[in-house]
Amino acid sequence: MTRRPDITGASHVTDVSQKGGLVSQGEASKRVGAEGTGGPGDVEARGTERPRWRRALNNKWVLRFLFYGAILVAWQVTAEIKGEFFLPTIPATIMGFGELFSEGYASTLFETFRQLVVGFLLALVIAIPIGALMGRSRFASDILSPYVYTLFVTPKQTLLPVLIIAFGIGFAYRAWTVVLFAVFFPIINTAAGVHYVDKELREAARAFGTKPWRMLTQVYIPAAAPFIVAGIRLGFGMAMKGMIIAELWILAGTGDLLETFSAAPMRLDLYYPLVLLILGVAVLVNVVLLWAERKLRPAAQISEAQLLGQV
Amino acid sequence: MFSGPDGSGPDNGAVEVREVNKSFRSQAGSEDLKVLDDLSVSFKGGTFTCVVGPSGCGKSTLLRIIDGLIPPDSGGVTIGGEIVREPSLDRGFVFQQFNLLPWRTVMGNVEFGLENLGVKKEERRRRAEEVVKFVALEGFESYFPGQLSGGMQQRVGLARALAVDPTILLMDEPFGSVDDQTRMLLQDELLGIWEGNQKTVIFVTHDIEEALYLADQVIVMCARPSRISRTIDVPFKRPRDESIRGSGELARLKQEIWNELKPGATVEG
Repeated sequence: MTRRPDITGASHVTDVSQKGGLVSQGEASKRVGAEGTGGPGDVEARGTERPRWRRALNNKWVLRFLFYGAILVAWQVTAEIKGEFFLPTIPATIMGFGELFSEGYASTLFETFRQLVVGFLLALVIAIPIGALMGRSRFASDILSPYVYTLFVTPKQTLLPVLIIAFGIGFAYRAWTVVLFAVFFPIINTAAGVHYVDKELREAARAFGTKPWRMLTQVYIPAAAPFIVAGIRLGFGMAMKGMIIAELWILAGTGDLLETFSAAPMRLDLYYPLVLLILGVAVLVNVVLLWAERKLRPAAQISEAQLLGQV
Repeated sequence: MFSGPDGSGPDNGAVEVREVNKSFRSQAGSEDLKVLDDLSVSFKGGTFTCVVGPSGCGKSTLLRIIDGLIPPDSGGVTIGGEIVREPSLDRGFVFQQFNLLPWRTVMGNVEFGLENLGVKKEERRRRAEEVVKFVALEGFESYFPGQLSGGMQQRVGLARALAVDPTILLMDEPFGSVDDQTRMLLQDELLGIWEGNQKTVIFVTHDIEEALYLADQVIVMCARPSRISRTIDVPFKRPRDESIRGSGELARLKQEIWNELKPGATVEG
């Protein structure tokens, strides 16, 4: 079959030309922008005629620097005018970070994040199998979904007394509170993801003699992976909530610190660093999970990105 | 590996369909939709058979029953004397919509059946590479299906089916969703592959010309509830070549089959 390489070559050429098509479209629109007046694409064509500072404004990092810089300046100015009672100055806040870690608060913070990690992992270990089961088995779904969906919309705080009765107010209570908050998104998303796995893919896998366990690990889970990770990400948001609310409810740990620092005599120079710290952890984990979610998108979408990336 | 049905005799790949009935529950809940009506047909081992029939006549259903993907209501299928109960890697299936695993690369998809068979990694790799070469996908091993054209995806589908070296190849309108030119090229490639190792091929299509160009034998199914309305032996010599496509004989046979199909062919399909 000497013709085969030719065919392959031809198909490849098609692919490449499609690639080219995408790019030239992009470039074309840039060009259109450049020829128009005042569009952001202007720079490419006439950049040389413009003053330097105008060109710099087109760099996103310059813009971000200016924007966040302005916020910091506003913060500092407000703090100076209104006084420390309302808002600590930036230097005071930075000092606060140091104090948070040096004055014995570190172990409290560590304990709080430990219950977050344990509770969140426990939630996932519970949620993903239950979700997969609900997605696969009509029987399991019929039995479990009323509970899951009812609890999903119930404010979890209402159930905290139940957990306190069951576990006391120690580590177990706090970790289980995190579980209670975090568990539902991953269950619901996993169930939906597994339930809607393409019927034809399942048939193909069956035609190739796929046994139930491999069906789960090689077909259902990968197919549902983007849903599952999205569920994990949403669940993490809830876990953070659970972590703080568990402690606020019984005034212990970091929740107690937040309460103490913000009540008289106020220590806003410690309160703000603490809030920023919690925010930082939330943002960091969220970024990682968003990245994973993007990686796990269906290959069709990945490939488009790859094609664009290759150009 | 492409030695064809070796060992236990040439009729290893013989397929017998005996008095198969199949109905589907209609959505409205009224009467069941009878698709196959006491259908019997046999396929000789090592032959290339095309099944043609009007849309919705149950061609694909028949193919799925032969593979064991769906059970018949009554009657049964035997292959090489054994009763079919569930899909087996003794049969390779090629789907109209390719149905590749989108998160696996070309190699990953081709190796899928071999993994199910428990073939060791190096051996798997070796056989997959061989098949990938066979369907002219060299250089695309690490591509994902979404990066390939329809024609190339179907080569992957074919490679996946061939990788397990099945005795029987079941093909459900495999070239139905690629463009005309690609289809003709793929037909020639399939012939090239088949002529090299004569597996039993059961190829479902609605394209009469395709059926005549490829097959030793064309089986015509009537509209549902379906039976076999005719069997036609295709007179063209092998290896087949392009000149057949324009021949008067092909046109004549095509007309003959069309006359047979026409009464059952409806616009609603």
